[in-house]
Amino acid sequence: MLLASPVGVTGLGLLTLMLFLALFGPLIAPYDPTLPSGKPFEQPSSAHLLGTNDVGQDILSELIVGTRVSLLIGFSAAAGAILIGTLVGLVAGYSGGWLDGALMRLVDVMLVLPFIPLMIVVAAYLGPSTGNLIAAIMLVIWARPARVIRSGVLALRGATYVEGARALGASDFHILFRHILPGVLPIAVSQFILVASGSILIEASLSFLGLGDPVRKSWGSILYYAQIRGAFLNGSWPWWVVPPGVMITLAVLGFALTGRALEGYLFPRLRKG
Amino acid sequence: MKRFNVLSLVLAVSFALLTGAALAGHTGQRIILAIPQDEGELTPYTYVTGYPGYNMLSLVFDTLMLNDLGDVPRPWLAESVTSTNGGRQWTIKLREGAVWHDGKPLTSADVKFSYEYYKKYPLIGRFATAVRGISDIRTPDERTVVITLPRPEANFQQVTLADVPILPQHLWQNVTDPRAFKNATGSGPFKLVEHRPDQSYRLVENPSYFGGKPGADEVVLSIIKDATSTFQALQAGQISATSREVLPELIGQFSNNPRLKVVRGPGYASTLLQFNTTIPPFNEVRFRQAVAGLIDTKGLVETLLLGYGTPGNAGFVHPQSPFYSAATREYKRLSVAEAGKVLDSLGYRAGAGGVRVGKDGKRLEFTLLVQSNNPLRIRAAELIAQQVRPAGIVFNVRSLDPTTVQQAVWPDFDVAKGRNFELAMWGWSAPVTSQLNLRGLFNSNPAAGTLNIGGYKNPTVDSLTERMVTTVDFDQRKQLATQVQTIIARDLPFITLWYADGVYAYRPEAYDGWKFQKGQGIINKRSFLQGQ
Amino acid sequence: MLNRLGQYLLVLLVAVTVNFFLPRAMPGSPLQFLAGDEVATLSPEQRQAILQRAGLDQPLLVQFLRYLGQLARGDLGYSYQENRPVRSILLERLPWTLLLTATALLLSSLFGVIVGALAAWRRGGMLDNTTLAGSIALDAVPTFWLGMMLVAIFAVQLQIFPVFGARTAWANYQGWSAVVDVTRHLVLPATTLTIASLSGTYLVMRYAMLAVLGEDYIRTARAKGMAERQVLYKHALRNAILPVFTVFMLNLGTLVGGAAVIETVFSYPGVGRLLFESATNRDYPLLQGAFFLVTLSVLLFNLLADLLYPLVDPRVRGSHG
Repeated sequence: MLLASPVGVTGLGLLTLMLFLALFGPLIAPYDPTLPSGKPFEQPSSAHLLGTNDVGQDILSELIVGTRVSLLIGFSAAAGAILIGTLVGLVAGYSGGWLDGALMRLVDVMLVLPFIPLMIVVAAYLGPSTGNLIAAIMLVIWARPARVIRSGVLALRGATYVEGARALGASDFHILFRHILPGVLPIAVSQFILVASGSILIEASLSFLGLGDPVRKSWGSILYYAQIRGAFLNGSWPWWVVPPGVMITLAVLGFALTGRALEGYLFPRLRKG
Repeated sequence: MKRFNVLSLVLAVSFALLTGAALAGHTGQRIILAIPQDEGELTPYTYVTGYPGYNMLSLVFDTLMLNDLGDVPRPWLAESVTSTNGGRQWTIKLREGAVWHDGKPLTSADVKFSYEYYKKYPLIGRFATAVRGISDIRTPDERTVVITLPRPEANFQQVTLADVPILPQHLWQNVTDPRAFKNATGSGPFKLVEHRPDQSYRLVENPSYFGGKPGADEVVLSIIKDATSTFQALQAGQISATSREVLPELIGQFSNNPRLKVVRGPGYASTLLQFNTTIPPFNEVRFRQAVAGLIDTKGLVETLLLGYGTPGNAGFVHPQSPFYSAATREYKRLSVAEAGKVLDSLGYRAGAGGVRVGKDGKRLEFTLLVQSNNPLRIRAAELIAQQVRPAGIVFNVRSLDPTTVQQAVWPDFDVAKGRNFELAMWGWSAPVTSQLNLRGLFNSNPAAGTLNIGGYKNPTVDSLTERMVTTVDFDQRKQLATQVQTIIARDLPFITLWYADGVYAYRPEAYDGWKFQKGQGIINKRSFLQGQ
Repeated sequence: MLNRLGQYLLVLLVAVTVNFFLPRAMPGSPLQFLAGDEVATLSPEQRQAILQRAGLDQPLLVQFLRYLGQLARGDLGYSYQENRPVRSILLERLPWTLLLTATALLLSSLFGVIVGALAAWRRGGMLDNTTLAGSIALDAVPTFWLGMMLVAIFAVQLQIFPVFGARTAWANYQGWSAVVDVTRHLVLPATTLTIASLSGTYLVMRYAMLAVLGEDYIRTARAKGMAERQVLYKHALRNAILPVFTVFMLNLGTLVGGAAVIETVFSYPGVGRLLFESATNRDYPLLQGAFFLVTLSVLLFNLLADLLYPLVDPRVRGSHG
């Protein structure tokens, strides 16, 4: 299935690597990145392959251990957003009428509000912490999945087996969760992967702007310190700025490629390219 | 041949220009100084920041006195300043020949008008507080001002005479909304000629300045909000200097750059670990001493400032300050075992996970607040948490928006409103130290100890700091300050972690007249004048 | 259409409300930013007076109604920090943002259309495969990091372009040299933004082109032996460009607020960066003004797209009667 296409293989490979780092990072990392293991601002050496940061913590270890927080934020925000999106999509698509209208207006509002500015405003006001960061991302990105899932529900509502269940006297709740939900689940899964890659990018941007949690190690917060403590001025950017960016790119790429492959597999008709 | 001609022409022209400039008193130099934000119009009511905004204001406006490079107030617009009647009466003789930028003479009437004007709007602007204590101002002649105070004020020279800018009466007398009046005509060494909001200011020299020849024909203040960009611009030669201090990690590199000059001097701004001394266990002196003993302030300076700083004095006052008491003891370092003994004796026994537990069953686990926009303090908080952990004390570092931290530590900037924190990273800017506001920091009466955010209370300190305020004599005041420092070094209402050095970099080829004022840095009025 | 208009008004109202209440729900007052560094020396009376001057001592609802009233009169209030009208600050920032984002939008649309069309024309060829893979990879690169890399390489290492800002603040360039100066400052941020938005247009163009190329009349034209070039320009391109136009119009909406992060990386004095600064400074009026401007521009361009679309696409016009 997914492994049939080179895109899927690459994507899954990257994702597996990231998940491996996220799960076992602390065991692989050469040092504890929360403790100083060298002098501040050391250049790369055999002891510190990517040098040390401004307080003498090993950058390679930060990078490996930071995978967990970056992925966690991406996953949690995406999961939350998909949960909200699925619920809204299900309810709106199935109920129709004024509730559908109201919910879709809300979705329109969310989609039209300027995205990055809204993120900045929400993140600045919720304050910097991992939980708030997840909440802020989630609150802003649930709308698109909601709309996609609603259209999936609309398509299913008229399907013969749903009509049949209704004719047999099944309750709305039963129909919704036994028949329609399983039908839109593939959409939700592929949306989840797209949203997760987006969340990782957003986390990095916000942390870089100083709106993340600077006490937690994540790729974004490594970049924040690198920028603020002169990595561009003292020439340490090749080992302090480049690697976190590459990690983010690879993680996002992993999600994006897997998502594409999955889409191609689940919805072959979409496969135009 | 042709080349030679061109060269000689260039030489001849530059020679003519140089001599012409010299004749007119010009230096031919232009200072491009980067500042981090727009400062509004450069008037005493509309400038924005204390640093460098006030310093920029001082290029345009003058004060009666001016601090010298060792922070001692010296007569400036005044020719002499004498105090009589135990510091209750001050007679100020003005210099001859001081004129406003528009050519009108600056007289004693302007001084009287200015001080009374600031007093007339007690709720607006920064200078109302400084003139609040004045009960009477007389002007016996054009050049003499006599100021009467109902009670002596020890810091009158620092806080008032050397700080409050003098306004031109003929322009301000009919102004009823001082914040809306945007005329920056002063008497200072430079005239403001252009302000492009959020981009730049252009100031040109005032050739007839009474206080000496301006060091440059033109000063351009270029607003660069981002620190990294500022230093990149400095390295690339796009600016001559910056009001920003050089980050420790860049000092080595800048020092090696032949086109940059790096100057370093003591900085008075402090970084503290603030206790809430009104709640257990921080209300217990011996507990605070145990925590202090575990913190390696020298190590913090080495790691975070790369050595470019001074470890904190237990008595708070900077060792370079004229009021520093060498007798104040340093922080007494404790090993984990020694600190453990103290904690044992206080009833905190080892518990689960190596965290000590008090008699009431509460774990020694606290939240240490830190400002999310201050990476150095965040790093310091993390290191401190690691240092106290082996003794069984847990500090959970929590980084919050600076406004949120301030609201928890110092609600509405009013210590009378209490406090809602356990531990916080904090710091006081240079003026608090240079004006030696020990009463503000340590007095337990909220109306007097307006900076006593930890709720520290000691009756002896209360009375000593009250006496300091009215003691005009320097030696007597220093004596009192010494006593206060000794008590503070024992009581430790907070831990003074370090004072960062002031390190500045500039391009000497662009301008080399910078002078370091102790604790304040190179961005001071004297830096912009020749000689001094 | 009326329905659509009502919807936009609703969005605007929601945005304004969120914008007003969110900052005020957070702990801490803007006192420090109103009073500057001197806040520590203020007496309680002085503090109260400052809040009163800013109207912050009133109940929230009163403040909100007052705010709506001001907004209706086009008055965006005074910035706390800069002590001047928000409107004039926004008007100073707006041209820079528009210059940056419009340049990037035009360039990315141009390149996107050309490359997308060529890729589809030679579907499965070298160009198609590499650009398709490239667009996916580019989409995964964090924009701000891309900007940082460009700064590091072209400004810090090679020193070809200036590091920050929109022009040389201290130089009083006039005429042609001013244009050169502004352009030099524009190159890196505009390049970053162009690269970041390139893949969207490219993908849409490529798919649209593929769809058009599959249509019967193109096949017929090609079969008739019409010159390749003629088919490409005369028929395929013209029809495939419609969806690109839609994307273009939607992108127009993001012109004002879309470059916040890039503007921050390059210290570019635009509206997006202003939004970020005013949020961290608790400068309520400025933040509200900037957010209002950004929202308004999104809505206006969306409205414009709705109005223009029937004129451009005959099919839509038909269905609307």
